[in-house]
Amino acid sequence: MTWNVERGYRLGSLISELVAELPDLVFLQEVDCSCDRSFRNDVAGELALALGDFHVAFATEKDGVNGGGGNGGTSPRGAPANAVAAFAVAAPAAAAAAAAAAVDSTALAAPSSSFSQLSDRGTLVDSSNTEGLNHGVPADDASVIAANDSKEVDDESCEKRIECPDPKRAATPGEGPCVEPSEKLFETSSFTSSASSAPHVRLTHQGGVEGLAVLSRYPIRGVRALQLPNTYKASPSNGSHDKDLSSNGDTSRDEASNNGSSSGSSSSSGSAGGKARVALRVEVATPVSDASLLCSCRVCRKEEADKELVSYLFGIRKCALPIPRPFPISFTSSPSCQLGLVVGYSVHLDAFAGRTARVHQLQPVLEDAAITVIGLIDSVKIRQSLRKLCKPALFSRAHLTDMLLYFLIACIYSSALVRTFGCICLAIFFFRATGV
Amino acid sequence: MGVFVSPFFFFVPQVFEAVSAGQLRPHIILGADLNTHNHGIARLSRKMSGNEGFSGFGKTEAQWWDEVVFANTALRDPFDKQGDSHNTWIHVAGIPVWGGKIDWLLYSEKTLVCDASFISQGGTSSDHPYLRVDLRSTPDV
Repeated sequence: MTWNVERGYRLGSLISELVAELPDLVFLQEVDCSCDRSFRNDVAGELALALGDFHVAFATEKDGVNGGGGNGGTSPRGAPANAVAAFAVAAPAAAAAAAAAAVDSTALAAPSSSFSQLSDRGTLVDSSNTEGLNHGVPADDASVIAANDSKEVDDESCEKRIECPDPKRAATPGEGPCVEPSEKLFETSSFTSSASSAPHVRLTHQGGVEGLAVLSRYPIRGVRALQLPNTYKASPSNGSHDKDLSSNGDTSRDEASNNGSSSGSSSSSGSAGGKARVALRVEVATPVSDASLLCSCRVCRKEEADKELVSYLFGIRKCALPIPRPFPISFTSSPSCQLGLVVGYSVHLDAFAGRTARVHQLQPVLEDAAITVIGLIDSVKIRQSLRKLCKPALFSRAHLTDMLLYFLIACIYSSALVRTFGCICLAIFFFRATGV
Repeated sequence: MGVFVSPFFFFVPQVFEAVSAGQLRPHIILGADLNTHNHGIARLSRKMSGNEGFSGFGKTEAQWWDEVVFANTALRDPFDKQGDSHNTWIHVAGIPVWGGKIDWLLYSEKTLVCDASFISQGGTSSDHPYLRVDLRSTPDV
């Protein structure tokens, strides 16, 4: 199920419709968290709670949404367009909501409230590199995984904040106080109690975040944010951003800028305008296929399943597993259950960008999906080859090889048998002749 | 005979690599707000359609995306690309000025089968309807 929830303005109605559907997997777009415009609700968390202990994955597209004016603005610290953050809340939503409810009103005065609230729900793992870190991370231990895709960008923006001469110039309309780097803010998991003592914690609500979310009835095995090319182009003078008028050249330049900012901080300011378009990629272990039966087998009787695999591989029991069923290769290779896995993407492209720009924007998602599909095709080939090997034709090469091996071994055995029989006869003849 | 056949499993490169590395064979689902809404007079706007606004003349924007972008992928959206049941349309004097299929729900058709699809009426909880599909795995995979 997919739904653009319009930032959760009508959360109650959303919940009623969503609960009526009873989905297994929900892809959400325009999900607010702690934004004024949506009453500072954690929309994804509330929906997950209403659905009943759903697992949540979230990726930030826009940070510092004050939300006072309709579409919302950006906080004074700006919205680093490449500051991609993705995290999964694997704890039961009820516990998460209870933990969130324990946060008193001062929590709203804390910076990056979404991260801070989430940090109260479990262990917060901060990382500066998304690549591979959030991929396939087991999330069963009630952990919250957070990752910034571009540490350089964050460092740069945070550095600017540190250099702010007057920490109290929040009096300027639209600007807030100077704050410490967000990496340190992540560490203030118990900010509700330490907010008064921590000198660098922001004292005013700097806005929430808007992003993508995935709700899953089944455990989320991995979560990752894919950086999408930005269709906004920067104005180098004041940092304001005009939307791409969608000439190909502009798009490619934006892509180049975007790619560059992923690996370095030099061009990060070029895309610090609207949303940082990302795609939220999750890996969910679902019983969508028969392979889940194997998964459950692996959990409850792993040794027997391994024996089954070994016996199948070594031909002790040929074709014991139905070949059309996915071949349980991952039994011995991965600690997590890879069978029946669903890789889901939640994507939200720019509304008023050109067609070409939007196609380019979706390109990383399609490439990632294509890689997955290629792996799928390979596995199909594997199964086909296994099927051929398991049921060889009468005069197939494998069959002839077997026959040759049989013949050679039979010859060896027969020659050895003849030699042994001859030796025995000679021995008997010798013993009889000598009269021993 | 199987005793002699089975060791050859490990000499099939794909099997060897798969056993050693462990391959993913996931099902793919893509829920997206692609904002494919450039129809009617909106195609005259380069801001909304880019330089290729007329490349799919006679087709809806969703049809263009389905035939050009998703045709070579293994992803399929089961919903109608022309109907306006889940689209946002603005008509002026009967002429569609702006609108189109905005939300997509794609799945890997090689591994999943769509049993049913549903589109909400929308307009009450959000400015977008929600899309729902009931999927099951392909029997022969």
